[in-house]
Amino acid sequence: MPGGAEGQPVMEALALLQSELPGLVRFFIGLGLVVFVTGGSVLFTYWLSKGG
Amino acid sequence: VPIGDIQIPVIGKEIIIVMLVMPHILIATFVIGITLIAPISEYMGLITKQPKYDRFARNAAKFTILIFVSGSALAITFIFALITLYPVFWSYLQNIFFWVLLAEAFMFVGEIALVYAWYNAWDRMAYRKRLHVIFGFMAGLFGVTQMTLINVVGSYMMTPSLAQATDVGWTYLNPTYMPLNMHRFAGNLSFVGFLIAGWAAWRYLKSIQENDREYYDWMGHWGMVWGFAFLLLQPLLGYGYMKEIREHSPATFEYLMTGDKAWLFNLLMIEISIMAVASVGYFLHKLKFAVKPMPTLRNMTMGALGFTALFSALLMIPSDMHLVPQIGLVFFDGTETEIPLGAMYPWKYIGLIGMMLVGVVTLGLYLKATGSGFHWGRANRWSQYALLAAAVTVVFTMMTMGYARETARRAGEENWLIRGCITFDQRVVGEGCPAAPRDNP
Repeated sequence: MPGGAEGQPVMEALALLQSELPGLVRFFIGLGLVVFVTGGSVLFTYWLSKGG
Repeated sequence: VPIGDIQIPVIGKEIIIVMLVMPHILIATFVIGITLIAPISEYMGLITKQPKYDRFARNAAKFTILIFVSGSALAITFIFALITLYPVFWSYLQNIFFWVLLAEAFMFVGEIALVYAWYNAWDRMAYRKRLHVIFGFMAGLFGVTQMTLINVVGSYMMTPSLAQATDVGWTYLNPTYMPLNMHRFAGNLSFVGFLIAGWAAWRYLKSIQENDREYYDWMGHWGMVWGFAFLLLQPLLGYGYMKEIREHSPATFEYLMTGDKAWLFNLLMIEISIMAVASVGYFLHKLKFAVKPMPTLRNMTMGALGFTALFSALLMIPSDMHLVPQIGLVFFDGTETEIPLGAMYPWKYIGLIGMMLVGVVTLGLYLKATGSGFHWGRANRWSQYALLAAAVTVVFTMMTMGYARETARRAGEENWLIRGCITFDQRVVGEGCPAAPRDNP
């Protein structure tokens, strides 16, 4: 966890970002799947409402 | 072939559950909210003799039936996933909440049967409208009951009972049960209101016929009134909910409000601000088209917009520079670097109370203007963009808060499925868990 030094160097932040990548990737995969399933459901419903 | 303890590569088990539950909740919330708003709309049509209310209610009923297909399919798939991926947890839960889950299943049947009957009998019961409206309300009642039943389980997972699981009163009415019910009830109506407004805006922008423009302009207004009115209750109800969490699950409270996931509430403040400013801005625009011109009222609403923006700005200021530690957004000395005007007390309280009070006054002024009516179909495109912005934001707000509630299980030294009782890896803990068997943990 960073936050000690004032004016944290960019490289340190990037290193942290990289170390947290699996969590971030999982987060965005999850978000993408939620958007995909919800959007798919709504579009499917819209298609049904138009008569299928 | 026995499947054993399944592990999902790369994304893990949780993402499978998230993928199924979050879309389900978005759809279920829509169904519950719309089966309350649409019958009220139908009833409004009955007493005002304005056909637009009935047109709206009927289309809403049709859409509800169709989206119920996806919503219930997701629910069943979710239960299947839960049984497969978390068998110990599920059997534990099923044991304690058998009657709740059984009643829940019957509510599903009752709800869809009544929504079907309500929609199907629209023409047949055209001369028995009051009875027909009751069909719609009954469907809504089943939906709300269904929500309160599943809230027993959801709230128990965060704040298990204060007594043994055999003590039904304590178990069902666990500490966060009632606040969760109230928060979700108002949330359902606000969510659906903004979605109605967003859909109406989309159709308004695409409509070329005058009668369609009038109808969708009115529909945007109708949805916005619902969405904003119930949004105004949410800070108060949410505060009550967080207060119970603080008292009965302090680690969760710390994690969400001051800890590593505090950014979720900063994000929430941005979302609430967008919806509030969009709503008041929309009302201000709409007042231009009041049948009876009301310049004083419009000037007051303009002032209200300024105050809403001011309170929004106050709400959006983070308390310190420990912004999003998960991606390294920590500046200077992190939690040690406090930001002026960012503290919860008094600034966030001033922001929340101020926004609610200004909102109530704005809504009151707008409803007063509604009494004399509006010239429909003349709204400009920017007002419709405000409706669309509110609709998109409310979906993200639901997702943010859903994520906040579920990620709160990671608070403290252990990750919990049921706080203090079952861990993420399905280890049953006896010590301190009111539901666990004491002799053989």
